[in-house]
Amino acid sequence: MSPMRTLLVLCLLLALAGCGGSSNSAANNSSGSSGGSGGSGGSTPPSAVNVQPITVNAGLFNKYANGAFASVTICVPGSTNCQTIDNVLVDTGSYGLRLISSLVTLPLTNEKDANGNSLANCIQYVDKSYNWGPVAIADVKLAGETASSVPLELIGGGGLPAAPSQCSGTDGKPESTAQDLGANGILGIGPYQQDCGLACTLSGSSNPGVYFTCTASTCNVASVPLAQQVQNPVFSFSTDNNGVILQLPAVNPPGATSVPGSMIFGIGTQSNNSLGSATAYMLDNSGDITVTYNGQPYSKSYVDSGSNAYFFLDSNSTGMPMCKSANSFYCPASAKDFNVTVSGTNGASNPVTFTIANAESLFQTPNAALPQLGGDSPNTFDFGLPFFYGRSVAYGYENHTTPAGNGPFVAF
Amino acid sequence: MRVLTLLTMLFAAANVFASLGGTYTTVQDDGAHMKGAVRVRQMVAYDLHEITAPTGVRVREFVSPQGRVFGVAWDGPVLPDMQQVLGEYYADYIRAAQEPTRAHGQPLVVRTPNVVIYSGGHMRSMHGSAYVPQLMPANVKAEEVR
Repeated sequence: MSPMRTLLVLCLLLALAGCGGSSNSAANNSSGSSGGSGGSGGSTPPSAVNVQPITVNAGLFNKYANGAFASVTICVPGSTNCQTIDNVLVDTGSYGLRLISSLVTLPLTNEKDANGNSLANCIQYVDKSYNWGPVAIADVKLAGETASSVPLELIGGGGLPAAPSQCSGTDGKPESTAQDLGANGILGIGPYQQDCGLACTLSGSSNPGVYFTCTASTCNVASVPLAQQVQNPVFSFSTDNNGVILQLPAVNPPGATSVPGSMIFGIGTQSNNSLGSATAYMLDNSGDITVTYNGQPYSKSYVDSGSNAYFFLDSNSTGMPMCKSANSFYCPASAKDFNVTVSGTNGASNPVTFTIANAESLFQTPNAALPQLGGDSPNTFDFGLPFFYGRSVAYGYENHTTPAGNGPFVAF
Repeated sequence: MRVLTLLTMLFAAANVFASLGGTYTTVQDDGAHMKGAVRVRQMVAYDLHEITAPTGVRVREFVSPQGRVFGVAWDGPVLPDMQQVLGEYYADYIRAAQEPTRAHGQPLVVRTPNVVIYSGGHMRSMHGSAYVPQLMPANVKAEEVR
């Protein structure tokens, strides 16, 4: 999600969003202040106990395209000793809160195994980059909601040996700093409760190796009960815990420098979080939907606010050339429309239309919100943040009931 | 693609790295390395060897009539051992992964004359594929390697 270009906007313009670092102000659970830096995208989002403001802007280093950020308050469990960290990426493609360790000034307790050894978390991404750090316990506050004693990852945190080879390989790239990540952390609010789930409770070769117990010098794969795994904090709210809705206004092409939006907790639990006329698409066992294009179904497709473009198919199947400089992105000579069909395992099926423009041209504007940014991803459709503009996208959580049925699902 | 036969085998061969671009016997090595069951399906234009590890990570290796692994595909809750799966093409993957302009969490696509690699997905659901254009049987389309 760090961007493929540099925006011309000065960091100063983003001062309200805390450009350049985290704020360490003691925070309460008020939802009254807007986290946004204002801007051109729409009206001020509603303020309510279950509504956390989010902002799409160029991020901490003034170069992020299509990143949605929020402030997250963490507290020593059961206390008023709290800290608010801003510029945390809002990511529906992951589960659990991960914060850059060096920004956390609270005295949090790390999880230990039965032998008193530290518990560490390794999240590996598609390019073998990885987050490595201890699992700590904190209360997490978003809007007026509190998740008590939630396990989270302190990325790059101390007190651990270097990442073991099962985590890093010999040449995986660590993402340990805000610079590496392009954000102060990742708030994973997708439809699952844990970052690993049942597989990490198993022992032996069935365990995929997301958790490790570490002595002073070595780390070994650990079996970890579900409750001790890094948790999506929304599941731990006492109310409004059956899902989340992201709302962003429509953004006119070519884009906007900053867009305010809302992260609304719960589905059908308050007057402000009904699904309305949205269709729920039940997810398959991998958390995916099917997108059909030109009669061909692509079953490993997904809707992910943490992806910064529409990533889909390739140059051959779309008829669009890749850019010369930013070669992960499409550079059509003129904007091109795509008509696809989205379907879930419940048989729900609807058309979706979107447009892809020339990425190099888009990157020459000062805009951070780019609704027509697209890139390649063979044999799949990854509907990233541009898909969210002008929509309410809801995620029904696993093992929870909503008016649209049981999660996991995505609805829009 | 009609499935002609289906048989399940468990291999206990030596633990050897190999794969994309490798020869037939390396598939058995991969099964041993992954501690997984290897299932072989004979398709019209190639053999498809599917290895399922106890973690649920599945790797499919596409073997040409000449016995070469011309394509691989994978899915599962975490990445497979990419070095093992990509073999000599692993360096191309790492080179692309470490480009400083790459975006966090973005799908990774490598396109060179020698190899095409895709790695994507999200937490708890990773997937990808790779193929060597020069080793592809003439009647097989790249989209079949998935």
